[in-house]
Amino acid sequence: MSIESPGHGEGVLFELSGLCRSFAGVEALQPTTLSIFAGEILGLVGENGAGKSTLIRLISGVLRPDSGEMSWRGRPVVLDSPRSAIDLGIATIHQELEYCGHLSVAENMLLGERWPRGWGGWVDWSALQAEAGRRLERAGCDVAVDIEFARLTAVEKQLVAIATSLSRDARLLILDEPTASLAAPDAHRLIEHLKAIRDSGVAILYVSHRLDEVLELSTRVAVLRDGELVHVGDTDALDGSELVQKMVGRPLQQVFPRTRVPSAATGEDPEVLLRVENLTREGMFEGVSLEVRSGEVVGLAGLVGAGRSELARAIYGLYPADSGSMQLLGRPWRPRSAWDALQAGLVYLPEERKRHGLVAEHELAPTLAIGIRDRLTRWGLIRLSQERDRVAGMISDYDIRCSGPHQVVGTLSGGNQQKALLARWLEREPEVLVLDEPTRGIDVGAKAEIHSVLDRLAAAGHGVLLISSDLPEVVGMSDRVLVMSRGRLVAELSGESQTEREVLQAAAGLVAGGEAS
Amino acid sequence: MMRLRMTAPVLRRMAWLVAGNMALLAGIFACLLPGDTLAGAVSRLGTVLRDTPRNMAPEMLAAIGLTAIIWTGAIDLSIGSVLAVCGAVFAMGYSHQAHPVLCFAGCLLAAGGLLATNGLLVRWLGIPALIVTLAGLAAYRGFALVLVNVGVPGFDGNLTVPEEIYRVPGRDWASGILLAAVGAAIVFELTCRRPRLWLAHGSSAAACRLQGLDLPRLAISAFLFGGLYLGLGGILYVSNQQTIDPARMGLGFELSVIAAVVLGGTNIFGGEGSFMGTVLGVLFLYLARQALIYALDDVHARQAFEGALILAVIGFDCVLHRGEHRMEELK
Repeated sequence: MSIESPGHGEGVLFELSGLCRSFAGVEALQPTTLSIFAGEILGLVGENGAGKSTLIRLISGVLRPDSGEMSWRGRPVVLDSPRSAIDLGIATIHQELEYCGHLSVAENMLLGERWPRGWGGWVDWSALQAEAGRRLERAGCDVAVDIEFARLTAVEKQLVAIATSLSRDARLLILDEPTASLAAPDAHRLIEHLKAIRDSGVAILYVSHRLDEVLELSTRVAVLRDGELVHVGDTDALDGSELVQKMVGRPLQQVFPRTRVPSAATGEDPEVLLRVENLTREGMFEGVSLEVRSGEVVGLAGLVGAGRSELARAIYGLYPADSGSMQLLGRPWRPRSAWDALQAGLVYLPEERKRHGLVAEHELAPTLAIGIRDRLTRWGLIRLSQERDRVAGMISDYDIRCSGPHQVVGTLSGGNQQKALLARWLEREPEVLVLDEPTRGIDVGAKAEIHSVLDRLAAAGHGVLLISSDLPEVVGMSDRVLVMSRGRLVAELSGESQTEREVLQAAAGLVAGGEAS
Repeated sequence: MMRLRMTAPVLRRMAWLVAGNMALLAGIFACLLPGDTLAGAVSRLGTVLRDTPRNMAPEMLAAIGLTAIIWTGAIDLSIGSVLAVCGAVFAMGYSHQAHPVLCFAGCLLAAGGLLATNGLLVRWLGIPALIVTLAGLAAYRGFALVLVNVGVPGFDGNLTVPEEIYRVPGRDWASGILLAAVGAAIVFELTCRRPRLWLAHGSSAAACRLQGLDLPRLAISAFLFGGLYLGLGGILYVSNQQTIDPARMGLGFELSVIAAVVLGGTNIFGGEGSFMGTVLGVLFLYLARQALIYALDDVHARQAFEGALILAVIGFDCVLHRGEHRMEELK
């Protein structure tokens, strides 16, 4: 489809004309015509599977188009490798950064370039570090260049990746979900940084599921749906709900469903499913006490590094706490392994689903069945017919969109991967769910479905501990919100005080402690 | 500026090995003391130390070469068989009265060529290095036997090399060659870009590809480097043998070399390690074997103890830092 927004006749930096690409006969991107202007931020949105990744991979030279043309500053170009895109001035920063963790920041920054040489042609390490430092400084980043890259925080890695791209005279920066793994203040820091980059004349193609960011940042927004470019227009002409409607092709009724009845309204005192008292693990969290009751979604908010995920893993039994105690379903809870937790009725959805949640090369069927394998096994043998039936049931019940149980799980969209993980654990009928960033990097449609599942679970009497860096989500979905800062629980917010502002203030350490509600 | 650029686990392992090597030397000395005077024991320890570079040179050079290959995330299991091919080439040259320099150059070329072939096969066929070189392990051994049977007139299973001139590198120059080669490798590691790119390849091939690095060239250069060092090791190995027997040369060599590399802190999956660690790892294994010779009469018991010692060093390090490893995985 060819759509062009008016009023941008000059300054075209990069232009796609009728670009399309198919995979095994399926058209992932229909013929697309789009212009990107120097000094603008063009937001690119769409549900998972809409064709965003294909478009990005075509522009960054990873894929070659089936047909169509690209031009750079009016001259036709062929991008047949990532190198050719880099040489042209196109830099892509993927959602999951690829880096060499054991090499230093400086080495990572100059990996594909000639390194400064000194006497005898040997690498001049001081000059290498100085050059990396200069590049970071020019990009406004304050990061040490001589430490291992793996030791950087998530936002520092993003900033270094951006600085690296800009240092190579990138004129078009493609950012794929850059804030997906960042807490709100870090995301804000990155957004401010991007505005400064835009003002320097660099064009940015900003791909994100966080629509508030897209609306705040971008000058124009392009919407892809089912491989088709369905809208390109000025951001000012749209609001959030219109944008969502264009993405999904239908209005979304309610982003944060709440069918459950609060215990205060019923006058009941629901059972405490999980109780944590003064739990401490040195260097991670200290003196944390909390309760999750039946029928309750408890939000756990905080900045990245506040200790939320670490606490969740200790509750799940991935490592022991140094001190403190826990109770699960009224009994003392001292898990020695994740298996203990699964058997006791506690499940955990990890923050990084691809690394810790699933094996990307496995098929969907074993991915789903592994959660209940013990229940499908008799005398050490898996009952295959039962497995088939249960897997088919899960795919249908949780609306996992796939070509069938034999589809490789890594090829599912992020939202469907997450639904598969949820289905895998929910099939065990757990009492308590600890969910770490369950909607990270997934589209609005899948997000709404997961929110709906969580609401139904709580309504059915399960307890949910919801860790999320998405402030609207954690505030909108939770019955009360606990806020962690530097390893400590600093606030419990509920009722009218349960707002994004209050959560942010507490997370940033602006609340002295105790209950804020 | 030459600076150590190693990760904390590698540095930690090296510290362990330095301490372990000192302990093994003390252990050897303790084994030498009974039945001898102090001066006699010191003198015998001196002999052990004097012979050490010559005896461990082939293994150490091969280990340095293999370290580079492992850094890229690959491995080469065929090095023992490549050593046998070196022996066959040497035997062919000797039996045709070729100049010793030509015989040694043949060893170098054979090792370099075969390892480069492994590298090319891994890249072209897209088959994991483990499988390609496992096939090479059998194929090259057979190739070595074909070579000697066809190329050495009257070959009857082994070939004796009595001329001293053919044994100079392995017997007289081994220490010097080893010192120079190890020094060159360490300087190369500390001052050049290529070893860092090998590590980068092993750490994240995707990152390297996105940065526009030529991955096939990088991988093949690591195999070539490995071939050069294995070839040097092969020269020292064959020229230190009384007889050339390609059917038995280098049997189990690859396992002992891999053990030394891993012991030295190199990550078996690539991306992490150091040549210095490998040097310390080879030295540790050699000294352990020496200590076991003095401590135990039974050859099989020695082998069992050697395996247990490797497990103990790596296991102790891992157990001590198990928490760290787990946290690293969860990051």
